[in-house]
Amino acid sequence: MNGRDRIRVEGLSYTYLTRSGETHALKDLNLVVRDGEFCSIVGPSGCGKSTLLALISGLLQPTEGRLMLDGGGLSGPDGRVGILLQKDHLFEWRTVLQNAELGLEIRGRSTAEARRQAHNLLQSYGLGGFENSYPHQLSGGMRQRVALIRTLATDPDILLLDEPFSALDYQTKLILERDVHRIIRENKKTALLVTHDIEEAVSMSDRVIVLSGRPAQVRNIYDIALTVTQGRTPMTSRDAPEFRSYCKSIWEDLDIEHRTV
Amino acid sequence: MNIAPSSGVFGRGAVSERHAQFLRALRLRQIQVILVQIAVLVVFLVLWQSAATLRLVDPFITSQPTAIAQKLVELTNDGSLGYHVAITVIETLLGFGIGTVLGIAIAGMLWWSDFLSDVTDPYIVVLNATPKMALGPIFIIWLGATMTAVVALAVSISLFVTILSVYSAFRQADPEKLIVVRSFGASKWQQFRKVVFPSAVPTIVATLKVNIGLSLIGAIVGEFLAANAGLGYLIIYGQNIFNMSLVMTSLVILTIIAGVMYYAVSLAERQFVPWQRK
Repeated sequence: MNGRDRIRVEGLSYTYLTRSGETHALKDLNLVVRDGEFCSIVGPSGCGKSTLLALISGLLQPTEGRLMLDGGGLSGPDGRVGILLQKDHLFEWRTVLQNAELGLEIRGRSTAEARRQAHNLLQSYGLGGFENSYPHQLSGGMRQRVALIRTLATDPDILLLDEPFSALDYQTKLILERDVHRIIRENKKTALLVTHDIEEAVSMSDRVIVLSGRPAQVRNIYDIALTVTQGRTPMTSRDAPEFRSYCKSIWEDLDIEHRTV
Repeated sequence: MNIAPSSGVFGRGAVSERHAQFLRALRLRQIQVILVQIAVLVVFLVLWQSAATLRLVDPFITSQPTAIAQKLVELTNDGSLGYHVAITVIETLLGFGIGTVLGIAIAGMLWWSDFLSDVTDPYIVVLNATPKMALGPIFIIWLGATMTAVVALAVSISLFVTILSVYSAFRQADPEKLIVVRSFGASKWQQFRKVVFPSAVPTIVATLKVNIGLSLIGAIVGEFLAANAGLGYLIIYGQNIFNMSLVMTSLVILTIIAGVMYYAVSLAERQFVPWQRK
């Protein structure tokens, strides 16, 4: 981590306007994500986390405040940010390889070179031999892996992960958390993960930002320092002695015990 | 993946003796269905023929299978069968093609512009509900008693159904899939080409099946109203000269054409939606 700011959010507000009135999804939010950092955002449901990701990816424009990527502004989706959503949203009418190439195709880089790149990514992340399969022939974990490759193929600097593991069964989820963590590290990407799962946030991240309910405010920030014997992975993190206490503090921040559904 | 080796010792793609028995039972049932279907047709024709021969019904009113067969040979020999079939098929295909392509194009424009869609909504709904046969006389006055008028009627019948069903399919495209392509910086046109249109392909293919039938109706009614060629004309002509064999023969051919065209569209369906092939 060299400390350069990748994402800087200053006094950010976003308000949805409808016939029946205004909804303040975000109000005066401040946060920073540094280069190469794996950062997680945890918060109660409906606190505006997805709105924040839509703003950072350039799909929405802030109502007030500033949002800077690499110190500069952002006027729309420009290729620096890639997203991975809860569902894989693979296109069922495309083969695995054609799905992986989608981003390159839209960016107008559908050359032989790009095709080879998507092909190589599929090979190295355990999907070799499935290039010509259709998504319905793949398991949930494999599908989400293809979705990640589709995003990585366009080589974004920042990856926004919007609860990408929450639709998977527990074992697949652990395996995919490990793989995604490794892939992001290997490619030296900056990652911002939004999740409900406190253990997931602590096990994967360098830093966890806890948000309060709508309109979202930063309630607390944790630098996660875990004592692990060999290299840190989401798997080994869960065995670290400090793991439980981080989870407990975040649990208390979220005040889950005193909330009603 | 689930294809068993075809050279198995149990033969015909079976993987075990039990599986072979199961497959034999399936084939047997299939053969039985076809045999009974043929038997129903044969019995029907025999009863019809006998009733006419024994004068239980008046063959002048009901015609009879032998007379129809005779008429068929006669029409084939003087070349008029091919001519009238060709006219009807051309009109139907033109109506089908124009109605479908125009319908999809208009649906695309409505998807593109919400304002346009809101403005045109009541007009399209009303035009869709209007019985299009009633437009026949208008087309004939405007376009003359020509093939163009017949095609126009065929188009008008399939057009509005196509617009409504394809537009609704366009709107149902998954919003999150659109977010995925927008995050890659997709233009509106790219969103349409990569997500919206492909998502609607199954609906479009289903619409094709309906449209081919609707266009045939349009072509026949058009020929009833104003034409001097085609199977619809032949039926009306048969009615006017009270030749039931001619009417019935035309009807038989019409049924065959309808069947063939529907089957052709079903074949196309398997080509266009390969990802749904199990």
